[in-house]
Amino acid sequence: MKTLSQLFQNYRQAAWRTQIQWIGLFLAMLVAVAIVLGFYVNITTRTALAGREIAYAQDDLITMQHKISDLESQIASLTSTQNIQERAVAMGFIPATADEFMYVVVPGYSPKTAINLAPKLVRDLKPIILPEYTESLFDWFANRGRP
Amino acid sequence: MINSSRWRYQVIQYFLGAICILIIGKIFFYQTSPEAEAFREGGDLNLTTLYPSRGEIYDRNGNLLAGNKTVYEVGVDLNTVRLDNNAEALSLALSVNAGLDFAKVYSSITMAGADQNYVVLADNVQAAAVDKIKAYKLELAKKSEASASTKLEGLSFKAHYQRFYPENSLASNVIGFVTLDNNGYFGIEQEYNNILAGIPSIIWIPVNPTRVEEIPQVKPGTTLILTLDREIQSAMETILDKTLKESGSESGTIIVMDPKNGEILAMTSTPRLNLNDYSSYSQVFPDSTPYNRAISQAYEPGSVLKVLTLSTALDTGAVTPSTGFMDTGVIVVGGVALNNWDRGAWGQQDMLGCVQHSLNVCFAWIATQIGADNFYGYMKKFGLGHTTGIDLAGEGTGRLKLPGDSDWYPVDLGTNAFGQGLSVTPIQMIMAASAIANNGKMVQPHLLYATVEEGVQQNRHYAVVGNPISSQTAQTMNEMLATSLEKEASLATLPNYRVAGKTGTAQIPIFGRYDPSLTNASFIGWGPVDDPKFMVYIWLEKPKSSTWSSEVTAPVFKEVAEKLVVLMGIAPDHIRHQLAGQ
Repeated sequence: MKTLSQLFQNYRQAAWRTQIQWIGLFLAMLVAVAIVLGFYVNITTRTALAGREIAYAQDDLITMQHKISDLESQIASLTSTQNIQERAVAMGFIPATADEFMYVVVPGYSPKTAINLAPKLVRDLKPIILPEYTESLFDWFANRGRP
Repeated sequence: MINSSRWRYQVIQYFLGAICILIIGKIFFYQTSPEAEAFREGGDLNLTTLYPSRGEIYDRNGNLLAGNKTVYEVGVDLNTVRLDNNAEALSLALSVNAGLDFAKVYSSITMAGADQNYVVLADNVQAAAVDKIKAYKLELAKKSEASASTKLEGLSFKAHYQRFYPENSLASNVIGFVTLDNNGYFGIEQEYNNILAGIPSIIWIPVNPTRVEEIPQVKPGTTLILTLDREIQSAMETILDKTLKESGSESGTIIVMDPKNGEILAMTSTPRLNLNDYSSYSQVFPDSTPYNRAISQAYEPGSVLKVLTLSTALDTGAVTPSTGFMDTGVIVVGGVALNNWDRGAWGQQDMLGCVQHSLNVCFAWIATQIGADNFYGYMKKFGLGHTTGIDLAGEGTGRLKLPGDSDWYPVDLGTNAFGQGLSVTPIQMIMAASAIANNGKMVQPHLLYATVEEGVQQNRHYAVVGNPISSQTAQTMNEMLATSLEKEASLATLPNYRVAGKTGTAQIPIFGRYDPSLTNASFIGWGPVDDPKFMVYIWLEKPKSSTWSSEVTAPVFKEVAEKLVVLMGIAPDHIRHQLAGQ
């Protein structure tokens, strides 16, 4: 028994060495936690930044839609009947009377027969944020199995 | 060695402990800061209403008639203002740059409740004024020596749409207008308000940027393409305004329609409103003045209605073009003697003579030959007495008294035959007459050509709403009406184009008696006769230069037709016939 006790004592670490080991272990855990927290903060920051960018992009989209409407209205205002007539008069044009007109048949000329209004751009109503950014890993696996 | 190093470990221990306390303290500080409190109070989500842009309105050639422009709601963040104490500077800036009332703005800011974070100072502020304020704010912000109380921090501008009409008053009677609450009034704006306005969307937007969600795109209102032609509309308004001035008429109406499909190419009446200044509505339309006389004001049309009477007579076989009539200048119907417009006797006439000289006595006789049942049956088939269904708000029905009604008398058969004793709207008359110009098919007048929604254009198909007369009757009527204009040497005829038409002069009843000095002068006409491309209805109320339609509206029809053949690119008859023969 004494021999066994002696054997343990022979192989027991010195007290200061044990302390160092505990401190080392604590620091290693601290570093690990710091790394995890670092990753978390990094990803959270990037997510927040991306979120802000999306919000800004959505604001820009609305601003551009307003600008488009404003420009359309401005163009229409500049080319309104009254403006065009005033500009024509300022340039020296005068309205023609009935006896000044002559109907000329131009072979191959096809007069406008249908409304020539180009359709407006198709607004893409598909989601802007791709599902990859919102779905969970489980959703992603589940969706992969779908046709 | 251990003892000698112990103090070092203790220093590190205290140092790390202090850092931990600092970090925890800082976290505590952030969590309890006023900003964090405000953030928590604001909640994780903001409730926001997204308003769609109102659908635009175009003419048939793609010219914008009604669009949208950006205006702003100007507000202020009260927390910033309380911090910077700049209420006076803000009020002054808004007063100078946006024309807002200084005292009102100042009191709005200073009298706001302590728990209030935001206050709206003005809405529908024009973009130019907002640009000026923003530039001024920027200029002040650059001045480093300026104190916070003189800067414009806290101002915010929220953009939204407001209706804009680039053509101002052009086609205003047709388009109608939109008030600040995005409600359409009159015309197209009211009739199609539901699809033009779109549907606002109320959504929750997360404040936390890590919880960003896609803001759903609000579907804009449906865009409308009208059958109106801006150039023709403008020309008609110019002609009408000139005519009113020259003839001294109280008001006027001109409608131009394609008789083959009912597309309204132009429609104007007086007065007209600058749609960008709709607040002047009550001044422009005092005392319940109709917004659009062409569809809502019924009146006794007079002799233009004879085209329907004669069509009925020919279709029922009551008369033929060669049927003779001895005009003695008077006819008794229902015990009442009826006279011609000149109280004269025109002797032996055929039906062409009756229509050419517009003889009331002859037409009263024709009505008796048709019989009341047939006559009123045809008038109903022509659409009199009920609305045409045109896609404009506020259409009137007119009045067609029928046998059996308490106020119908036998004499009404005679007077109705020449357009008195009943009332119609101009749009009813033009729809009814479309059957004559269009081989017996009566088309519904309409203004909507197509809708554009999500980039897809859907064209509207026109509707034939009845066949009141046969194709044969229509052709006979066309020929008779064209010949009567030519034989009468009417002021309505124009060189190189054969047109058909009929004048109408109706005295206006004042206190139960017809006043010969006050008339409604009307004209209905179309051309070219062999292939009608346009149909025109003109109505002048109480002209002063002459009371006779043949003198005041016939020349207007000629002027209108001369414009139309150019603007619509209609070849002269001889060229069309040559081209058709090739």
